[in-house]
Amino acid sequence: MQHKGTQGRASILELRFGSLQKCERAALAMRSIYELYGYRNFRMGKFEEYDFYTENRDFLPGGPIITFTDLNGKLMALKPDVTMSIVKNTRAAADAPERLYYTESIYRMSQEVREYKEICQIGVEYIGAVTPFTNIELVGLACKSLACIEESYVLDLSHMGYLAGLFESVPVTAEQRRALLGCIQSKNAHELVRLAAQCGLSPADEERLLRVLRISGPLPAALVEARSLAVNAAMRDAADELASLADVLGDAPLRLDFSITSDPKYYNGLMFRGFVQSVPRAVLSGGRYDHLLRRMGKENLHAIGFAIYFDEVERYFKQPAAAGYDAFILYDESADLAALYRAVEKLAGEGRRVGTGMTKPAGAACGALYRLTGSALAGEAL
Amino acid sequence: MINIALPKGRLGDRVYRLFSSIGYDCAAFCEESRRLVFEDARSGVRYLLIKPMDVAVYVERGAADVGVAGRDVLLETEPDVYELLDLGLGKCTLAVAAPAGFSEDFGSVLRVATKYPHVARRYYQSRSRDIEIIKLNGSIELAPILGLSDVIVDIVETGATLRENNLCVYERIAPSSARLIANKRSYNFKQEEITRLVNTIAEATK
Repeated sequence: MQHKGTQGRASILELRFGSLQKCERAALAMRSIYELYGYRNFRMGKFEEYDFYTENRDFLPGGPIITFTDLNGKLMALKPDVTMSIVKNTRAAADAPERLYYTESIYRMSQEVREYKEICQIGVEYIGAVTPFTNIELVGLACKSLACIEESYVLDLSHMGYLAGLFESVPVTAEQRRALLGCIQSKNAHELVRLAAQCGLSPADEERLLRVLRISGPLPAALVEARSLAVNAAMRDAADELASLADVLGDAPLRLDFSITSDPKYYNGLMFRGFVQSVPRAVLSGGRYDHLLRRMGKENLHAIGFAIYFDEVERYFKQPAAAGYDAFILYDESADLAALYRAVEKLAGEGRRVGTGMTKPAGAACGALYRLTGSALAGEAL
Repeated sequence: MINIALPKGRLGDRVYRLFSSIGYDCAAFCEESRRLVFEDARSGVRYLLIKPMDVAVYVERGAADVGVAGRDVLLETEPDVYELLDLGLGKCTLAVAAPAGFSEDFGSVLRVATKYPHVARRYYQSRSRDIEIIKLNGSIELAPILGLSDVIVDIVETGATLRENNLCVYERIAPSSARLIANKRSYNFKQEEITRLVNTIAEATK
């Protein structure tokens, strides 16, 4: 008897899983993948002391943080970021890395509409000693996460070490470097040529910057071009790191594109951004952020992670909510409640959305209509 | 099929003529109509006619794969797109203009009328100048004439409109011209088509 009941529950759970929105199924699949690869779920509160964000304010995207004063008079913030809170609380050591994943809401101002938004993020963080295999593990997980959303995806890779090496090799000021890097970010070759002339760069330096700007394509082929442009150890080391990804994850749709950059105050090493075909913006963003750890006093640790912006995903995969019922049971005062309950369970067990009532609900489709009188259930014409 | 967002008006017509001359033609585009979407399966192209200020929004949000937008609009809206080519069309200058003989009073807040509030704010912030923005949507030249503002920030093409309203360029902020922009997702998934378009235009406009 017990066995039969468990079976019944399992089949209903399976049916319910099938009725979830596509993005909800993707989120569940991702969480089970992270668990399989040894990552632990990290839950956190929604608030953080506002002071916590002041020192590394520019790690966060622009715009004010939502603040409030708590009952003790402390200025608190609704979390605009998860990574910083994870770094603050990490117990990782170089020989005892932490592998964490999270599903959390963060609160940021949308630059487009100048309104605050609640953004649902699923993310993965590895904190400890990052080895070449850690890069492979994280990039592999990023690919698996994108595949949970849509079969057709690409992961663009870049490397902050390569770009740092590139700019060490050209004689420009910090301000000029920022402007030139901006051109690489937006693939703006015409502006880069104008700036190179303004900076007095040699034709060879200008050509090298332009060729890096134009690198965009499948990793193995693009890496050949990146290697040919490497003029110092930093660029060569970065190319080696990218090559190990190409060697091991050669079947994945990895691309090399140096338009992906981030603030070097926080990020170093590998950077990546993921796209799926049905969503017009990047849905995944990640990279190596050892410099943030240094700034937060975690001297001997390295870190790499990524986040998936679920609000972007939800918008494009949202299916219309099911309205009405597949089956509806009308009953009256004479109905045997045990018989009614059994009838509902039977129909739900068949995977049908079932409703009950003493009258037909106004404005909702009822699907197959049944009438229960006493303990007798009879089907009616639709 | 590649979706191209073009700005409505003279610039859009000029860009269409350029694209059409290099094989991205669409016969329906030249017919008199109020349609906003024109498709030509043979050329593999769908044109969308959009208000100039909105082209970048359509591209950033993936409704169009590529589009043509003025640099003035890109500086104002800072969309998350790739800026692939300067088409060299629609050249103008983003400038501060003021009544002829204007003398700036550095002891008071400068009143700036503009449809480019973001550009104006950034420009004056870089000069540590306090300003009050007056956001207008057209006929900006009227503002200083009627005492609504001290100066305006607007695009200047030939300067004829300014001259006719007794205004002149006071400071130049940035040059502008039409730029080919691309959605980042489309650049990944339609790279071959987009690169072919960029290379063909670059060759034709050499």
